[in-house]
Amino acid sequence: MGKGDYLGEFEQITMLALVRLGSNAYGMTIRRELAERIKREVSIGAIYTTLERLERKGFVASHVGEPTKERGGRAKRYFKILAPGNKALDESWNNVQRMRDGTPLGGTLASIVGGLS
Amino acid sequence: MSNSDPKEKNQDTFSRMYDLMDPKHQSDFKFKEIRLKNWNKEQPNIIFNEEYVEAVYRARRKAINHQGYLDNFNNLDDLIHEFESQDSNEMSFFDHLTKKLIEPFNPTFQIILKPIMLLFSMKIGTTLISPPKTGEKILYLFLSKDARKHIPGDLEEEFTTIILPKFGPRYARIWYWKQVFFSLVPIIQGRMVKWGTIAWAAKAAEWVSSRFSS
Repeated sequence: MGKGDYLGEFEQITMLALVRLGSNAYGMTIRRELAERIKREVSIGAIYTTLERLERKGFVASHVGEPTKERGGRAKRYFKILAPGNKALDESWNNVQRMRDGTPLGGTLASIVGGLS
Repeated sequence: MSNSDPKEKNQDTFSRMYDLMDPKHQSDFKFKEIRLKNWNKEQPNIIFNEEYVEAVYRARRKAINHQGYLDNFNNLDDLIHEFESQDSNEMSFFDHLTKKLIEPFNPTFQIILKPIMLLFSMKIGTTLISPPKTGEKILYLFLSKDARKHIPGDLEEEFTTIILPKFGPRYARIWYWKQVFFSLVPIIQGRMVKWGTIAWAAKAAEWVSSRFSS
């Protein structure tokens, strides 16, 4: 995994939102998903900046959809996660998990303590 | 219907109309409900908005097809019946309503009254339902050509379909401005990084060329 392949916390959350939303992942739905699921109000500008960075890294791809009336006739830009993005997301989680293991926050120590009591 | 308050009755009727609509028309119709609320409160002239009147007509027409479902809605049924029994199909329902409303006045006054009503309706239409234009222009100034197609669209969609129906026009406009300002921060930051990198690369190229030329 190269240095540029590591994902920041917000990048991970945004990519998870893409996974959750599937084919309906575009700016507004991603923003709503973050607001409703993790109660985090993020500006649409921050979401696009992150998604464009992930697109440059080759982790996500986008395509332009249909314009609708409620968007003032503007088109949607749909995003989807690509295989390298999936791999990077998986790797980031594994790294966190490896660091958690054996610490009071991790599952291993907690299960030992639980087993002793 | 159990509601005795006519305003509540209208709201209830309106909600049921909404339920009867196709989902694809519901979002369009939802913010017209706000106008009805405002009209009930303090702005009787809100009904003169053409878009609103036509939307109410379409929904009401649809509701009438479900026979016996709705109660009287501000005499609209009578107006619709009258409108549909006309020989000419050229007049819109809005025109018909306008005609009915100015009928009691004398013909000279009617000539003056009609454009005033139309102007008033246009003003309501633009001030109540659209996001602040200045906010949109500010966004345009800082966005890339590509992002201009999507970011204002996302904001407008959320403004129209979620914020406006839920919180009303005043809060929706404040919300839009907040989104504009908070979106500008990462956008400008991104641009500065990009221009900073270009400036640094130019400086490095200048240094390299000066080393090799000497």
